[in-house]
Amino acid sequence: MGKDLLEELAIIFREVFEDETITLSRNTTATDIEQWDSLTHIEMIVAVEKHFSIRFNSMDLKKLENVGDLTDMIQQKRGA
Amino acid sequence: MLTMEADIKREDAVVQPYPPVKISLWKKITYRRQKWGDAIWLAMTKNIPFLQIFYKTKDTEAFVNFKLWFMQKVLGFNRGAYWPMHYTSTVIEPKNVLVGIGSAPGLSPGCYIQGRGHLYIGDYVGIGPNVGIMAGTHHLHDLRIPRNGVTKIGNYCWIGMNSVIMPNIELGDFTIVQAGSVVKNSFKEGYCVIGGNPATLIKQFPPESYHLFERYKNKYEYNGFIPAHKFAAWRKENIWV
Repeated sequence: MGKDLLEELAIIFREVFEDETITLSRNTTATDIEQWDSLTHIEMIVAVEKHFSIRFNSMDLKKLENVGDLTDMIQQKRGA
Repeated sequence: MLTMEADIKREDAVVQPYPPVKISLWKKITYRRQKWGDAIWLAMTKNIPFLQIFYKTKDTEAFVNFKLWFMQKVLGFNRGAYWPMHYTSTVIEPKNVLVGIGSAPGLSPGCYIQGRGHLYIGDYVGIGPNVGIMAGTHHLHDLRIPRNGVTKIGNYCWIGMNSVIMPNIELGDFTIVQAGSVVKNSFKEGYCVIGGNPATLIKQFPPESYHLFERYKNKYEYNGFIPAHKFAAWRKENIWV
């Protein structure tokens, strides 16, 4: 389950950040991907919301530290 | 192998503690005095009613601290302003300026706030040092004749250091102005990043992302020195906007 989610996320990340070489792990952070700044972060979150048809709020975004946190949050939102 | 190398590097990166330094008795005493002084000041401002503004605005963007309050209210730098201001900032016609909750134009040093006409500043606006915000301009051919204008800045805007907001501009909510930009055109929609001279749109966020912007609120809400719940009544009597 966790791995599939990472692969799905990787596809989204490659589209948003326009870089085909991106590979994700649970420990990937914004410093590992060059194009990931505060502006593209919002784009990425919107793309993730559309793809999984879930909705984040600003408090959720504060808690995110790395991709692992994002996958956990997505699973939580889908389960709920 | 790769992971091993990474682990070794991470261990090396651990910051070593400073070597022990001998602290003189005088330093110890001053440190203790400061600590006790801070604690006493905190207790005083928390419990004595007329000092509570220092406590309640302590960790906010528009904080009132004793030094700046003394400069403003006792020595009289920008005494006319009803919100906390730095003594190196200038405000012209503060009665034409409407300041929202949690924002204080000119609290950063070196600002120039000009209220010829109407100047509306929204809630929780962050304003950097050396920013110029203007409401009015002057006659096209005769510089001696002032012309009133209306400038509006929306809620939760950030205005970077050294920016200039020209007269008759409207910025929507969540507009982020990059440092050093000169804003000559209105951006009424908001939710954007603007910058440059003249300021152009760098990034416009789509409506789907509006719910991701955080609308934080202070625990104690103040419009400048006035509590927010008294502000509506105060405004009718004391200012012109």
